[in-house]
Amino acid sequence: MYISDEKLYEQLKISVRYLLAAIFTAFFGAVYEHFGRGVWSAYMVYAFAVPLVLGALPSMLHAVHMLGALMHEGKAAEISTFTRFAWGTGIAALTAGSIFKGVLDIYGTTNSLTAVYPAIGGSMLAAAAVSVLLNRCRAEETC
Amino acid sequence: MKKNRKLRRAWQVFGASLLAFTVFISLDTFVLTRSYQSSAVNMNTSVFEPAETSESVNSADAASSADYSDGNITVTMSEYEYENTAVYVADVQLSSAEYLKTAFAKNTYGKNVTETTSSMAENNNAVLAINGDYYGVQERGYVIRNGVVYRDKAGTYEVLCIFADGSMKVVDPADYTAQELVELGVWQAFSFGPGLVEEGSVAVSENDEVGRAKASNPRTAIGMISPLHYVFVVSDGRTGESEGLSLYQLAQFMRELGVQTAYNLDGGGSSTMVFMGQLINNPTGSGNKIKERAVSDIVYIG
Repeated sequence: MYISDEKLYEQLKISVRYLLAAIFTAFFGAVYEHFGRGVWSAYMVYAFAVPLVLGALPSMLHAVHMLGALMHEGKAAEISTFTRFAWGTGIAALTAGSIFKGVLDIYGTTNSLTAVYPAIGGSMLAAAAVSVLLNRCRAEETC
Repeated sequence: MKKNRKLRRAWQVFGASLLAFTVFISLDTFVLTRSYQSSAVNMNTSVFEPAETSESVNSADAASSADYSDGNITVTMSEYEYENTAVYVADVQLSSAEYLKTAFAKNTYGKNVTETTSSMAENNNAVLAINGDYYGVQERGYVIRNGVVYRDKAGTYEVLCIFADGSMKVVDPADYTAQELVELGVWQAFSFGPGLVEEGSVAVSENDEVGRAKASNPRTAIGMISPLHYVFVVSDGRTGESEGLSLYQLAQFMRELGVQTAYNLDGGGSSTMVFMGQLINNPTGSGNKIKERAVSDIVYIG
């Protein structure tokens, strides 16, 4: 796919959204810990890492790759709408699950239903990964 | 354009579903009340015989210094200042372990069923009561109360067993099933911990903590000096007047009281001691305010 300014701008917007989500999550965790009377949870403290590591960083790397392609009039792999959606929802589910597990940890309680968050999050990330592979093999006409 | 609208719609549906699930799980964890049927494995209560090493309650001697004595139960209350912390100690001597009882909030074994320690103490005519292990916020961990198994799912925390002969032991739940414990004569079992003192020695290190809690906290603990001779201990904390204790400090304090076995029960805002209907400590059940917190269960003498 040839890269346009518009597509690069769109990719940068996605990166900024993930970055803002990571900042908001870190801020939320810090405020919650502050009022937690010294009780803390790794799930709460490190929840921001999910949108940062799985969202903002890969998204920015892709934007850099697109920028390189734009400058050299080259091609960059297109990420389908479904892939973006599945990856984004996976990150959202994992982040929400981490925050909620942190809340329970700090309160000193448990709920087995919290396993639903990583199950959904992991499934959506896996679906996104499969979708990337399928799109690639379709583009290369190997499947 | 149409694709964008579809995508936005899909995100809205997903976001709403995630929010709805989070609200549901929050209600399930913190609000929705649920009572459970017990496994109803009862112990043979004919085993209430004092262990050979037990001290007999000398009611004549105890009565002169005790704050409560009725022939079967002797309770002496003391207050200490330890590590800038107010610590309340009830020295309890019994003629039989059947006087060391437990009660559930609203007499119901369940989730999110809570009541204040003083209210439960009053409803059960308790001479002395402290908060228990707040079993209701955990899904696992043995709950054996008054000889009945209510929860037989092993947890990861050490279990305090109080036997019908009046002895007390901290065990690893991986080593026994709840039924086996009852068959061994366990009258009460708590799943919180950790064990503070075992065989007369401090069993925690300076860095041990409950989960990732702050080092200094209000605490509740129970210890055995000898079979049928116990100490119930509650410390204040989180206030300007009383700093609170670390687990290690609490363990050292318990050892100085001469206990052979001691165990940490639910602390923080839950820590409460009630004697003869009077609130003894300053519970911080509402942040730093002095207020009793509603809890799942109590340990009481009566």
